[in-house]
Amino acid sequence: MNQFLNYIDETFINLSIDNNQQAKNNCLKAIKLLNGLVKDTKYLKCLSEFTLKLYKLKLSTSEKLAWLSSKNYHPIVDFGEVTSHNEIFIGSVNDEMMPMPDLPIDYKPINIDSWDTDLKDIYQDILPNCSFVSSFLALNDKFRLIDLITPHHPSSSFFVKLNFNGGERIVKIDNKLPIIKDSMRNLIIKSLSSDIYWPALIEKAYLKVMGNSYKFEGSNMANDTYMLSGYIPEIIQIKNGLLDLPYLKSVDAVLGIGTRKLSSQLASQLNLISEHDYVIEKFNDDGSIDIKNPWSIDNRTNTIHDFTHFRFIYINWKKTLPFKTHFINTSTQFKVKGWILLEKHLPVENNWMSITIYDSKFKVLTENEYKKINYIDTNNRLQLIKLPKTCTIKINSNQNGIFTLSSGYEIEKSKYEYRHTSELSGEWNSQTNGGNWSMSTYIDNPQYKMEVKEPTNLKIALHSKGLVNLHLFHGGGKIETFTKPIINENYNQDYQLGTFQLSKGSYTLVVSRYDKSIESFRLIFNSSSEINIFKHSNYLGLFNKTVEFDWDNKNRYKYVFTLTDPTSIKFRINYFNLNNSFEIHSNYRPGLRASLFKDKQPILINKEFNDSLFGIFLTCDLSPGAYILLVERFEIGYGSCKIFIGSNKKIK
Amino acid sequence: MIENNLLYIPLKQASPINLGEKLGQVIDDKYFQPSNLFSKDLIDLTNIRNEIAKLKNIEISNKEIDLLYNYLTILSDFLEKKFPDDAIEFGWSDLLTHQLSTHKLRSFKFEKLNNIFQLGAIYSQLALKESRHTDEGLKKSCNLFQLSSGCFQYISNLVDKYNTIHFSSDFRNETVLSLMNLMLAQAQETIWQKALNNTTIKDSVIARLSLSVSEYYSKTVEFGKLSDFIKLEWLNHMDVKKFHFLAASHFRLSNVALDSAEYGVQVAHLRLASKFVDLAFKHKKYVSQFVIEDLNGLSEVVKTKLRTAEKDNDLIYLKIVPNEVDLKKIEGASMVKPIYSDKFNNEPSKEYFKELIPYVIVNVAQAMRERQDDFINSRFHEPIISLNNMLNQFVTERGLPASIDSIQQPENIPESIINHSKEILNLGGIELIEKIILENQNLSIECNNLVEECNKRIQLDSNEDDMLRKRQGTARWNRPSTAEAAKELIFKIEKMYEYLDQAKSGDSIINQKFYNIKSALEVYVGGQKSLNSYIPNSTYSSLDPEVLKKINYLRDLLSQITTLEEERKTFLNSLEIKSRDNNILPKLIEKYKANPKEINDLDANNISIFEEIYVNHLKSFNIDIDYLNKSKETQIELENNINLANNEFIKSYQATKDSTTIERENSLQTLEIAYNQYLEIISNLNEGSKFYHDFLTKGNNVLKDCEDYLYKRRLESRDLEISLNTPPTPSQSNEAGKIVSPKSSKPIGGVWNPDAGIKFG
Repeated sequence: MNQFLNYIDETFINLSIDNNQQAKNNCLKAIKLLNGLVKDTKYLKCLSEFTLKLYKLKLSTSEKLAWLSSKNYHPIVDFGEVTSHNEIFIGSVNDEMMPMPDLPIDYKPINIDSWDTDLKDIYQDILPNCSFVSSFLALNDKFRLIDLITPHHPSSSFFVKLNFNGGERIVKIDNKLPIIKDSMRNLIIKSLSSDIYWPALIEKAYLKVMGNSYKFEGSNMANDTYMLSGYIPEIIQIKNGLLDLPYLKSVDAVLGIGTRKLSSQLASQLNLISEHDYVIEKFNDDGSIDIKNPWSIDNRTNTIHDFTHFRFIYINWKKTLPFKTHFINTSTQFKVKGWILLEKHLPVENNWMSITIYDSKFKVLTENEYKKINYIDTNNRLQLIKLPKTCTIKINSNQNGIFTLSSGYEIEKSKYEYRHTSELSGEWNSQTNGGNWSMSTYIDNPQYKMEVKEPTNLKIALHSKGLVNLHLFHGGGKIETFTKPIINENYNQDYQLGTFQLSKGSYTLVVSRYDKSIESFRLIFNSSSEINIFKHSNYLGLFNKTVEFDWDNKNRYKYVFTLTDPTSIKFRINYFNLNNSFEIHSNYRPGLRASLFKDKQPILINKEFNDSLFGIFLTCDLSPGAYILLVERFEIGYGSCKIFIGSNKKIK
Repeated sequence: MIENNLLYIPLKQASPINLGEKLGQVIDDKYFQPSNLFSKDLIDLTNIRNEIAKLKNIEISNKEIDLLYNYLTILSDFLEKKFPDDAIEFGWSDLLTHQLSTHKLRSFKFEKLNNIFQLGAIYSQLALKESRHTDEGLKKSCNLFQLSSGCFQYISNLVDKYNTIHFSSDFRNETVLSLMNLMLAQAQETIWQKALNNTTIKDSVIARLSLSVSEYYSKTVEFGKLSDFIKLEWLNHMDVKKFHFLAASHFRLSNVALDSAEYGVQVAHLRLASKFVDLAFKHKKYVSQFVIEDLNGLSEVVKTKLRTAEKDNDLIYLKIVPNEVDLKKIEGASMVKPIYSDKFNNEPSKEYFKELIPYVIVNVAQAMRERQDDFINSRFHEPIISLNNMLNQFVTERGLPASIDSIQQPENIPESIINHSKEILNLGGIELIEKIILENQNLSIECNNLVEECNKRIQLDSNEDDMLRKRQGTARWNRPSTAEAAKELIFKIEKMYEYLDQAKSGDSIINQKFYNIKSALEVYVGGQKSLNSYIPNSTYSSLDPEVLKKINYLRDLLSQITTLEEERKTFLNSLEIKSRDNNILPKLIEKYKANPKEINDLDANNISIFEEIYVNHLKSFNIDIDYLNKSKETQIELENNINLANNEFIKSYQATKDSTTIERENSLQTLEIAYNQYLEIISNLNEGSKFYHDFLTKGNNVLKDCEDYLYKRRLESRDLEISLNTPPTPSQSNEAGKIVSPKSSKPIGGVWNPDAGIKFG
């Protein structure tokens, strides 16, 4: 039967990686195994039925992740009449040598025949797992710990059921335990009064899962109680020694308390142990509490009046959160309500998570889009979040990995407010880093044309680094000057959000940075009807050319050029004060104008002088011939001038 | 035609503009809607305005009248209502005098007045086109003169109404009223003419009609003499007419006297008639030949009759000739009045800019958004910052929580210090201050540059003006110097320099404050480790349960401060989003759409109708004001409680502190003070930043004024240079066909003139 379970587990894993053929093969092997058994074997019918349906099962991404999360510790499979956490499935387990501290240790099989469930005298010894032992002590009269292990008779192998990585999983262990040679001291959890070893087996499974085995580095009581019982963990920081005792007294939960770091001198003065977890045993009427030390010392119970030296309260609520979703991407957003528990799957190292809670039913485009209800950051891998109403939560972590969100209600992935979403990325490079609108290069910034076919609500989010902004203009064409944008907010750090109600028509979007630095950006468009977005070319034309000259106390300049083919041509003419690569709006600029002649005949005449910051523009379709572009400034003077020429044919 | 004994008013000359294009630019610049939504209306308007600019004297018909009325309706019903009055600059050249002068003004009202003037001129010209030989022609002519007069009366009323706008001087009352009376005089003269043709009308009636004509001319002259725009030949014309009709009136009265055999009276009237004829002749210079011929005719008759009458009386009747004062007075009989045409009230031919949200809405929305931002800032942000500062100061002054931390918590970093450290780090630590200081320094440089740029514009003008003054000589270069012309701007620039100096000294005080606490801040931003090494441990002594209870109570109160501050922070964040999402524009548009007429008819300066919306809009923040008030009360109560609890604690804690405790307490207190200072410095720096930003906004306006000033001065110097360099010409013809385009658009030497031929090389 152990092999049968292996096939079933393999099948699930194959289904999770979409290897359906292999899944089918494994199912067939499992069926074959069942067929080989005698007819009256227990559970045969339900196991067969389950297996026959199994390979056709379609797993959701979330379910797949549960199977892929930890290869060695599979989720418990429910066959109907029986689960995989049953002794019938136990085969021989041979644990490799687990890492051990540097002690004279005898790692040997123990024949376990005491299944006593009185755990009052259980204690912690050398191993620094006060949190685990405290949890054991605290759960003793509230939870059947013994049911975590199977079978309840001497065996060389056991299955231990623990709650981690998104649910109940089976940890397979053998019956070896480390015994310190010639010593009364123990590396394992022990009872003073009886010779029970099954808690040590659960402890062993726990240590295996936690990663460092008997070189254990510590945990906290809320996490450990959750692993054992599945009770929802909550950690409350004690601030300034203040405890809400009436509240704690009233909760239906397992309670513990942890100390701060204390110097040995102060610790002994206070009769407390530094950074140690205790079980809360009793609330006294005078505002003190009785706490129990997991150590076996003379006076295991302390009465505490002053909580200044304690740092955490551990609460494990006797509740369940049946709806679960597993996911990889951090910065995922969910629509949730009520209580939710976020779990980062083991193994974890230097993990850190933040949860931002927004007052919104919709996916959040930028941080300031909706009101923030709360922000939590934690270095614990489990975090309980209590929500006052339906909210959107956004989860971030410094590390990739698999996460599980559990809730009392259905969990939905958040959706943006409007039906249509499109994303595009781009960059401000050395040509398109136009800077803000007070610079002559502003119009060099990336520009997009947006076509709106019907009245539309639109949100545009711009994400980048530094001070950024977005401006939307009517028209759709490439802008050549800064007219009134539809909204005009200040430049904002790292992101900008624009909310628009647009009527049918074409629009031009310009994204800019306050300074002219180089950076990439991401744009998200979310709209109530479909909009088309095109990027405008950064160039004036297909062929591009720049002519530069100094005014040199003159007020006119003739640029002579010849066209051999009919050519569409566009000129942009900018004035520059000497040595400037760009101008800002407060700099002095003379008015400019430009006219075009062919064979000394005027083709395009401008009478008005224009001192636009962004330069003057001339567009024309020209036939072959010799041309003169006459550029004039209002008054004679110095400074330089650049004529940018874009054309669809090459200009000689 | 028109070569007769009456005057017509020459049309003004409109400077051509592409009205549609200009309005389109205004829409694109100032509205939230694109101009291409209105392209049809814009093209229409360009065409209408072009037609109006093309109007020529004499070649006019009823078609042009309809065009003008239509345009006036568009101006009043749409342009004035949907656009800011100063959206577009209109130019009009005045042709009343020999001197061609162009007036420019950014005002639709100015455009309106000029077009009403055009109507008045057209009516005067049409009146002269009518036949003066038929009753029908005279009747029509009289009506047209009265319509013309009505136009000028309308102008006069409008100028009174728009008394805040400085229109060009040709719209001053003396000119307008002179023209109005001229038209009435000519209308009355037409009536008189008609009466002459009717042989049944008695001399006494004609005398009264004639007197009225004279009276109107008299008024015309009276106002005309005060005006620079009524030329001498016209004044002479009016004077001649005034005396002519006075003489004519006496002549008719002499006939009346003759008929009733009052020979002495007859002679007296004839003598007066003769006297007035002579007076009329005194003004005959430059006056039209037709008028003089009329006068000659009258003169001959009067002189002849006088001679005969005097002789008859002397020889036969021997009646005493009464003095002038003893003659029976008659009243002038005016048969005319200014007629205000119904067409001024015409319904518009079509609706223009139907979908355009009026500028007043756009403008009010913008203003109210700014007001709202100010409101949020001054009613919430500032009070909360100062409440928080007061609270922190209150606690720090009492040495809290350092005093209890050092006793109760001999090791570890107290919660409040950890929180302060976190908050300082969250806010951006030392770097934040350094960053803002640097930013403010840059802003300060930017502000200085801006003022420099302003100064540079003035300096440019000063240099150019000096150069030209030297070249042309002080006597000829008779425009004001830069110091005089730019007086206001120079004053503003000086003030700006002063403000920047003050800001600078403010900045250095803040910098000093920052350097004083910098070492403590370094401890904060160094995190746990640096805090641990900075704050010494103290010896622990167990506390009496009674004291512990007091400490815990005090702690509880102190933790309420943290809660309160956090609550306020969340409140402000939410408020920011609420304010952003609570835009007033949709409410204004709603109001407009509900009753567009009411908004359209608004006087641009009277926006009180929106105030109500704003007040209602702000009501949505009442709940927040309540919160703030409650929060303030909570703070007062909390401070009282803390004060009492702290006194209790001090009273009960009698044990003398050992040196380790005192040391720990001192270092904690230093950190607490540094934290308070940190917050204070940031708020000071933000104030500084706000000052510089405001300065930049205002400074940019000054820069724009300086640029406009420089541009205007340059145009002025060009015009002046041209006029000094061209030899004086004899008085120009005022025929419309020969009018040159306004001088300012005429480029000067060196720059190619697109209006002239092409000469390269």
